[in-house]
Amino acid sequence: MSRTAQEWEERPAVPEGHFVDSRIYTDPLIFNEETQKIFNKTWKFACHVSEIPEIGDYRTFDHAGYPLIAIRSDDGEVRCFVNSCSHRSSVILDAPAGTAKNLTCPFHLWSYDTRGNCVHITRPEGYEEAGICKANRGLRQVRAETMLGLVFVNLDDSAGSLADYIGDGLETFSEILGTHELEVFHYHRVVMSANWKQWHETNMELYHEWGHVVNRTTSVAVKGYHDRMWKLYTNGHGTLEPLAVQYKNYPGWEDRAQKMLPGLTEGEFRVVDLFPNTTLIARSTALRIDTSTPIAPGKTLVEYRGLGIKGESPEDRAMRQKHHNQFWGPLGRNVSEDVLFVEKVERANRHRAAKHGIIARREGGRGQDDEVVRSFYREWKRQMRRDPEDITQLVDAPSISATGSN
Amino acid sequence: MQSSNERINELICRTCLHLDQENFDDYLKLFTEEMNYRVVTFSPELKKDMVWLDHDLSEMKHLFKMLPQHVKMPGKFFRQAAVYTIEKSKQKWNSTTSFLLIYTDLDGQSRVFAAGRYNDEIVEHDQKLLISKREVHLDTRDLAPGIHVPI
Ligand SMILES: [Fe+2]
Repeated sequence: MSRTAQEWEERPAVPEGHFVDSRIYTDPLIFNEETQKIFNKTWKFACHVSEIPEIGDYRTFDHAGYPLIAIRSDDGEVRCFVNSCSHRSSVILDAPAGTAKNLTCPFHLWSYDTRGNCVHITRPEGYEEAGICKANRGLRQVRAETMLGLVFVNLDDSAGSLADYIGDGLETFSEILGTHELEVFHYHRVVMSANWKQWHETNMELYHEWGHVVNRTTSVAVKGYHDRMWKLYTNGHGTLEPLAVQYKNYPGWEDRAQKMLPGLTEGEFRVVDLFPNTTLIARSTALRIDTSTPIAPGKTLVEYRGLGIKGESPEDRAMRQKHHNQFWGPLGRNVSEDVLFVEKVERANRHRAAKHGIIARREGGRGQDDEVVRSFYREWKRQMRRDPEDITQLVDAPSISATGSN
Repeated sequence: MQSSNERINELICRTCLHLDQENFDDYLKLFTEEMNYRVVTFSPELKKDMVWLDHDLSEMKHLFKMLPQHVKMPGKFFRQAAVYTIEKSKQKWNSTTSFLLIYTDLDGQSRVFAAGRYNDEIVEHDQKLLISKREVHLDTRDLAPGIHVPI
């Protein structure tokens, strides 16, 4: 039966934590609060170490509205700085990647070394009276830590370590990431009309795999698909037991039975969702890392990386590239559909035609259970101190929840 | 009697017309049996060339066969192409074509979806000119949601 306006707006008759208020995706105040309470304080995946292998190699990116630089310093350490000159604030580096001995601001030619020390002020004698000198005008350093080749940054100088934040969250990827030296061979980005949490949801709730013909045929139809248990970690991360995906079920595709990444068996699928917005997915021979950058409530940049083994033969790389592209390339059969899905949801959320998102699937913590999404929102609630079921309600921080309620 | 350059121009335009009209069978008839179709671009983030699609004829046929089951961008794609150069070497021609791929949504709004070049290798087979290799070199790297059909 269809519902009246009042019925449509009523709180869904589901247990606590099993739906969200659609304003979490659209309200500008929530968006700003997320920047302050989540993105300014949590570890954010920036890049893979292979993107800055040599001294002076850098990558630029935005995080929480800050332009940042990740750079390999002259002592071999990866450091991160705010990409802003300490003189008149100009962005110093424009290119997404490059190599630099010193970072020189194009505006008045102030210069910094790869550790963020100011090493040149043009005509410094003009600052003597006011007390400005190289020693007190270094770049703002941002914390950067590396785990299994993944570089994370944190704008909060008082935050705990990356290792504490991830905990055991990467245990199912440690062999994949840590056995051989890997390198990024694929990078693309999409600016989508959707909220950043919607993207992370698509990486968590597998119920939507029904919407992709490739996932229906190669995964959902496979024995054991619905039996896999989710494992939830502290801080809102989660992973799923593996599945042997049957790639040959999709017409024209081959098995993924050779040149698997370390620790993976034929066709094996693994996923780990790291709070708040980074996901690693392994599909036997291929590995994808995606991470988002919120731009506005309904606008999100998602970056997709594909990784292979450094130094592998051109034939092996071509195979890995093909397998990456089949699902995840911009001309692939899966990721573009996800973008269309989340944009459709955003259209209905935008002006609150939709009031609630339902995250109420319970399958004993298996497969298409929404428990990992509920766990994400428990963490969101803890950090935001706000109820995702009704954004007008402030809440006391609940204690850290690790395992689900299933 | 058309010159070979006129025939090549017409061949390339036909690839665009058939894709625009989603006449995929006719599109593939413009390629040799041993064809290769690739989409490539350069990543300034990685400072590397990337391959985003690399298909032979059989893979192209599977791609088209499965299209109706996929969730695709609604609306239409339209290609604006201009052949810039044609060079002959032995029994082959190599051409460079500049193109814009225009997307028109369901409300009739059009915008540039992608810009790039077709680098084609063309051969003569039974008095017909056919494309043996097409490399689509994209300048555009943000393809919005993504595209399920060849560019
Ligand atoms: Fe999906």
